[in-house]
Amino acid sequence: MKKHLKNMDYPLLVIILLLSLFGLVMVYSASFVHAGLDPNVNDPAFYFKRQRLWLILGLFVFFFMSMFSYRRLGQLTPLLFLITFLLLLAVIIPGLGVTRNGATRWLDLGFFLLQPSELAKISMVLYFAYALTKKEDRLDSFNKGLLPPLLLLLGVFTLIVLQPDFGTAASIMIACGIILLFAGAKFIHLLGLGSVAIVGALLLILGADYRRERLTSFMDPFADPSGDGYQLIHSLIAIASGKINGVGLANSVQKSGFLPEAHTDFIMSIIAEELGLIGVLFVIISFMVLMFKGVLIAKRAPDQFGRLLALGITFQIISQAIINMGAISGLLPITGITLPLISYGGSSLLITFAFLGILMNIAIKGNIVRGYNREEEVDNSKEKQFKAAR
Amino acid sequence: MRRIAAVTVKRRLTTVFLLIALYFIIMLGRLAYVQLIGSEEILAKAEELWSRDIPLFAERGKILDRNGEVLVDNQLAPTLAVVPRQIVNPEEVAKKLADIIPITEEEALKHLTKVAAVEIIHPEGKKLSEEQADQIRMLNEPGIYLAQDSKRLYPHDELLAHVLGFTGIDNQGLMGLEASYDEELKGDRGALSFFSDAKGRRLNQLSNRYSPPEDGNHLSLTIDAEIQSIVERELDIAQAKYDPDGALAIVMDPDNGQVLAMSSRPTFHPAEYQSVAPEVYNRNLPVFSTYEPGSTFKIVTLASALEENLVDLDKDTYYDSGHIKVGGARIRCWHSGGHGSQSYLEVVQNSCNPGFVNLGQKLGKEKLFTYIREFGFGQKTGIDLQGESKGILFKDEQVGPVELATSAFGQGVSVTPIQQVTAVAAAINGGYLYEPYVVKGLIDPATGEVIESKEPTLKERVISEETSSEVRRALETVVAKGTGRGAYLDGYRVGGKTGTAQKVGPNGRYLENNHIVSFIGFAPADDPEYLVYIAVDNPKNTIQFGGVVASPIGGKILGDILRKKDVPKREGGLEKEYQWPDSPKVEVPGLVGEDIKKLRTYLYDLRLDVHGEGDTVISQSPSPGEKVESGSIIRVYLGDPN
Repeated sequence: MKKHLKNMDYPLLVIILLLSLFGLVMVYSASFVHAGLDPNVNDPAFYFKRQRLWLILGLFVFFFMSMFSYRRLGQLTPLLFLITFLLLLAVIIPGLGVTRNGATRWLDLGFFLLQPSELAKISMVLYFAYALTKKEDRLDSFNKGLLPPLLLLLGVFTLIVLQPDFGTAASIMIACGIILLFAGAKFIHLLGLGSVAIVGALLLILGADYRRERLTSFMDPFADPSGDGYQLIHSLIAIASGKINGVGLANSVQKSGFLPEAHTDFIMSIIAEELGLIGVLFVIISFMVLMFKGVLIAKRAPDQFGRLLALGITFQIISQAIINMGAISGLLPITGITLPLISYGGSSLLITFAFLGILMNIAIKGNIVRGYNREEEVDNSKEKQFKAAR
Repeated sequence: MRRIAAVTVKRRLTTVFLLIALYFIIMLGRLAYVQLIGSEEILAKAEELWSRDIPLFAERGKILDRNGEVLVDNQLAPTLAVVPRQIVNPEEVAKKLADIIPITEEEALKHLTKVAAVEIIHPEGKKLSEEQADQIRMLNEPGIYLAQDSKRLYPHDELLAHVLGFTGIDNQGLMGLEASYDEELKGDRGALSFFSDAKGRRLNQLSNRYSPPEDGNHLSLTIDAEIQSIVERELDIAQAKYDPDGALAIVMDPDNGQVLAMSSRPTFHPAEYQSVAPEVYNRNLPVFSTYEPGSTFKIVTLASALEENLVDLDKDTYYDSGHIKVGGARIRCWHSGGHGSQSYLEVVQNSCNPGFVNLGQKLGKEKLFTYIREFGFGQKTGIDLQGESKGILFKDEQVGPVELATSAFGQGVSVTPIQQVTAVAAAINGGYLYEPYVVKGLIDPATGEVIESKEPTLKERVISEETSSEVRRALETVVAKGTGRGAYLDGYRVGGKTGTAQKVGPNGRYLENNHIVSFIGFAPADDPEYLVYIAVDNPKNTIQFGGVVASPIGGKILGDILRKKDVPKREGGLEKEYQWPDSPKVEVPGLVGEDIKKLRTYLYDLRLDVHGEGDTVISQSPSPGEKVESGSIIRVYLGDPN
């Protein structure tokens, strides 16, 4: 325990706490008008209180996972994957899934709406890192090495797209793709898979009306201001209102009902409106530091599984962030994905903290190994000095 | 180990890391762009699209006369505005609205379900009456608003209609001053903005934002409503009496070019302009119409000759034989038989055409036309009214002896009434040609302060004070002793000149028995304060002479103005002379039953205007026994004797 605390990656911890506490404040700021006016809630602090609870729970999860050996977690992977897959299947079975805003993504557990696609993030990253580590020496063979995990990925991906939750599906795809990249797959295989993924994505986008419309609306939101362009226009208005210093914390106009999902998917727009370019810089730099730390931890990981897992986790989080921020600024189509650590949402926050806990565990393990090596080096030199003295 | 080297993995890692870092930078650039550079454009676009603003229309500026009398006012007339997203049951509301305003249920439903932040029901929902507004208020439906708006109210009805013009359904100026001063009058729209959620539902918990409309400025005119109503009344009387094709009048302050009254017939009510033909409201005749002025133009010839010292009105004499030969053409005097030997003052009094031809010849074409141009003819006066014409003058190379001769007494030139008034004002005010104008200034509606005021614009000094004084003296004698006696006012000194202008028909020839009779007069003659011009186009049932029809109207207008404005009576004015031309008045003989051929041979001092087919006169006008001036026209109708 003491060794754990001593070997924690404190800069990573600081970044995590900074982002999640900042998120808590912003959730309050973005939601109090909406919450105060909602007759079902009638409490301006409603979302704040819940997010605060999730944050505390999340921190427990984080510390638990940071002490839970990721190697043992690896052994649980097949089980976890099976559970996730079943839950995803359950969601698309009519009658079991809970539908909101046209998407069926949840299972009602009575006290809590479970979002299996959130669980899928962790399962897929774990599974990919685990499977590709085990098959390390068979990776040159497409059929024997790559095909089985890819088929499972495709299955999960399809189930999530069916919900539909294209954003989450895409972020899982990216994270798994990056694991594949670093596991040591052949370049020619990666190239082929990349092409297939791009063609598939295009077919998917053009295949569904709503996705095609979103694509066109993100290119010209003002073409259909009351329909598909609505959210993006209000997001852009919010961002544009912010200028350099922002309109001030809690002063956003767009959150007062104009911009739907202000405290979830579009929280970054409110940050840009209230805190201006300064707030935007803070968030983006924090995520870049997080990415940097993640890559560093991966490099120092004691084994291949840890390395792949660290990279998968890092890029799972980062890909969500860039899809979200791309969407709110009109660079990418809107897919309905939250900004990790900052947006309101229990499942998302707990999963992210679990992810970061695992990352921390890898960092600790890496530090301990490196620490032993350093201590040995020191001992050696003392011995040498001792010997020399004798 | 694996066959893929660790170096390759490291390189891949670096590449991915850098690519994603680059993407972060691009995203940061995009956000910064939206926040800093594209910000204004996006916000402007959004404002347009999403403002949940109930418009508050600015109150249009009033139009006031020179003394602050309101000529054009406003009356509350709300506009129906709907916020479609707030309407609970569009079908039901559409049905209710169709009962109140003249709109079909389908049309109403289209408005109510339109994808728009705020929809104005146009034009059916504009300018609602108080009753309609009350009914709509009583509906008490969410999403239905009455936006503050107003419509024009004309307390003096038709008064000054052509000058004022009118506005359209959106209170936009369409004609007259309403159009040319639209920018100044219209003001800026305000709004009542309310906070709403994404669906446009009103959020009552949050306070509304009120940005008040900025009312338009009042327009202050040089027009004097009292004088204007005198003019309007006299034109109404003339219209009833003579049933003319048209009539017009202008009153000006000769000392600064300010127009005090301006009117014409046919006229219209600005609130119901659609009920008359466009020609009626499009044409402000005092500035639009052009015609050959006739004898009123002789004032210009007179002033020019006097300025050039070519004539002494009292000492020089001219013998009028009844016609004058110019370049092989015979130009007749209107008075058959001629005026005989007269001083030039009498030439003016008698309005003797050959006498003025003689003056024109003395001046020569260059000088005469230079003066005509200096007096402002052949170009727009620059009055601040729409639709001004500039008239037509002979080009220098076209002017031969005949053109010079006819121009000297007002034929062959085409001028507008406002040009004549402006020119005569210069001839009698000491020689100063002013730019005529009707808008004196702008008044701030809130403070009542004058925020912009126009000063008289002096364009040219045309003649000297001495010449001008001679012109006034000559014209005073015209009213006392000459053709303008109809305008004589006991105790006031009135100067003036009549005119009987021939009209050019569609075939380019002068029309028979269809004249524009006019009078231009001023008072007091020693220091003119009011200059009046009146013209009546083709008066019926009368002898078409300026002295018969127009000068009495001019005199009446001047007299009423002088009394109303308490202008002191003058002493030392000229006495009215009664012997001329009463003496040559002849009694109209009974012509009914006579043979037309016989009549033509023996009726020498009256002219005949023959209508109908046949040899025998079956009716005549004027009737037998009436006294008319010698040379007058008797209208006879021919028919079968049985």
